[in-house]
Amino acid sequence: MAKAIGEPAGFEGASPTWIGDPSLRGKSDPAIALRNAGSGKGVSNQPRWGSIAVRILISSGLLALSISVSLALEQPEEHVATLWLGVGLQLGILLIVPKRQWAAYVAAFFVTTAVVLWYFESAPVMMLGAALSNCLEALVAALVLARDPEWTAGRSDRLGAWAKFALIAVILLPAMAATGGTLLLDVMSHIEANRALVEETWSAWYVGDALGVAVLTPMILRLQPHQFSELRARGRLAEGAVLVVAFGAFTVTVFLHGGILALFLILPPLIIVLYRIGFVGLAAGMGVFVPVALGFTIAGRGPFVRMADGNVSNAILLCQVFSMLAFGVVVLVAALLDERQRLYQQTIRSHGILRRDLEAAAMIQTALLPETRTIGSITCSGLFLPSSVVAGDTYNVLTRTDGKLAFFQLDVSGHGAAAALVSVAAHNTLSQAALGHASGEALDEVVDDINRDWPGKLPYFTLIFGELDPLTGQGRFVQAGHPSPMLIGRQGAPTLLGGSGFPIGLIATTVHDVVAFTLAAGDRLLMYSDGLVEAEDQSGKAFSVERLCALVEDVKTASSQMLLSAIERELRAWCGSASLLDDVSVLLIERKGALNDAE
Amino acid sequence: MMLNDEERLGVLVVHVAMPRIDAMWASAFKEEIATRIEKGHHRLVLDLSDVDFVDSSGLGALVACLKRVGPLGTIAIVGTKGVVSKLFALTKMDRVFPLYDTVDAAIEHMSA
Repeated sequence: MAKAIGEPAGFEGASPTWIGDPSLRGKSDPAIALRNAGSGKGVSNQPRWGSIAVRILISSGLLALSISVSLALEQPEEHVATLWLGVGLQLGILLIVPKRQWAAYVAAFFVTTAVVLWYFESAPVMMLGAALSNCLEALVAALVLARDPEWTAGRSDRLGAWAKFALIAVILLPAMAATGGTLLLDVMSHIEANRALVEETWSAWYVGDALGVAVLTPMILRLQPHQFSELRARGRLAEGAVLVVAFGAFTVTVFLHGGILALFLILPPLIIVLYRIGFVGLAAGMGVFVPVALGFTIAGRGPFVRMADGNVSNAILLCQVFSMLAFGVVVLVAALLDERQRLYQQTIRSHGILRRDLEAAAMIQTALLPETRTIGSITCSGLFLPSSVVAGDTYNVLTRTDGKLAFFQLDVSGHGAAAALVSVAAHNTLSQAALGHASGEALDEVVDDINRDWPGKLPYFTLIFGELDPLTGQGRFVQAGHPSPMLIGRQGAPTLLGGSGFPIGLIATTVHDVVAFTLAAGDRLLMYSDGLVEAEDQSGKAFSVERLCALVEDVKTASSQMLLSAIERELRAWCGSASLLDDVSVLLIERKGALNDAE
Repeated sequence: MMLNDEERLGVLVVHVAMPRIDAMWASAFKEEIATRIEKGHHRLVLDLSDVDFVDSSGLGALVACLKRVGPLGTIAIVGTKGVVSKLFALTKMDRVFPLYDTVDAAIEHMSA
């Protein structure tokens, strides 16, 4: 028995190229690529007829062996077969070979079954009838199940696929085959009109058939070599082997010493094996449990025999029914776990894709920002801290053809991907406007035009839009709902310039004021988005303009880069473990003077 | 969304009983006020006495409501303080919305 069960697994392991043609199954799947790489060079694109014939021959040999094992077992009186492995083996093989070869396989199986039955001296009608019913049963089940290639290839363990397998292959078709077989026996007057005998024959036939399918088919499907290479990739191969051996030892102990209740202790370890190593664990676990249970029961030992008051025939039936129920429960649990795992993996995967997408977008957004640079006496530097990956904030500094510097900083309402997209559009609009307008044209008119043309469906933004003459330090800006820029002089406290102004894209017609300023040598102009001063600490207290002023006052002798670092450091300390709720950006424009040159 | 309605002299007074109108609440807030406008209330007083913080999204929601009531309607705002008051000043929304210190003052002005 154990030999018969172990055989297909060994067979699978010995010839990895036997599993159909992996290249036919979803080329884009990375798991397939992995599997192809793992299984080596033996896989050719089109299997030659010779090799197919050899495979059919090997399959038929295995079928002959497994049917012989079923028939040669010392059957208790009138027991049809303890464990009918034929159908399960046929179904498993059909599911892993290409569909177009099925006809050849089924024909070979038919002949093999008939010959073996003939060898075991069955009546000719019985011989043909049983062979036909076996082949039909496997073929119909395979036709239904092969419609889910993901499942048969072991890449999916959806609950639905296993439920279909249990319903069609384990419950429905064996029941039909048993009914047909019992009728056949009845017609041949083997069991005359003895109702009790008919029932017993039917149930023994049914559970023998069903158990064979329940044990052998999942084993063949799930013990494909790539399942092992995936286990190895997850580093669970050794653990799996240890778990299966431990499970086997536990099962033997239960059958040697345990009572009826101890039987149910089998289920939790089987579920653990499954949980750790997946459906390979189920296949291996059932492959261990069923031979041990049947072996002990046929030998007249163990809980089933006790349960049946020593009637071995009934005990075998009990054992088979229990095994099938155990299989059903475990598959259900495992499929539910697997479903959860699958959904989780799917979520992780799609989250990863979104994340990578956003990060790519963030790279583009950052690339639009000006690098720290010096133009004549002016040095520009910035700080850019998105609250998520991308930000609704942006800024730019451009050199105009007339030698003046144009600059802007803007903050799109809201944050995240939508605000970031709009900020890129606004960045472009403002950069064009900054370069395009002649030096004589009023800044406020440029801003009012942009406001008028801003699409009503887009979120609005706040803006500082200005220009600066590097030679004289004379500058002007328009403030559109953006926090007031801070003028940091060499002496004295920082002062806030401007005061108020309508944001862009909120109210259709607006008038903006132009604020003039002068950057003396060594002066700096600091622009920031509201995310900086509205950043909250753990208790919800805002960072505030006052704190920013005090901080700037403290470090105003430091370089621009140091000043920005100090702001970032202080902000992060303020927020603590809390993440930024809004995007933060800072643009700092410094006019170097004689004192700087001397340093 | 904690909004308490009260109708006085044909004006719908909405007491906003929540501390923040920010990105998280802005669109729900906008929808809530929009349903009131749909029901025929075109003169509203929004009482923001309990609101400590309005961000750019919240401000956008308020302006969207104002656009919704149309040229014949009014949305007056009552009880702005602290950073909310500063935001209205910074963005010149104090010129767009009539602001009052108390609901009574707003009602008196609107029914006059």
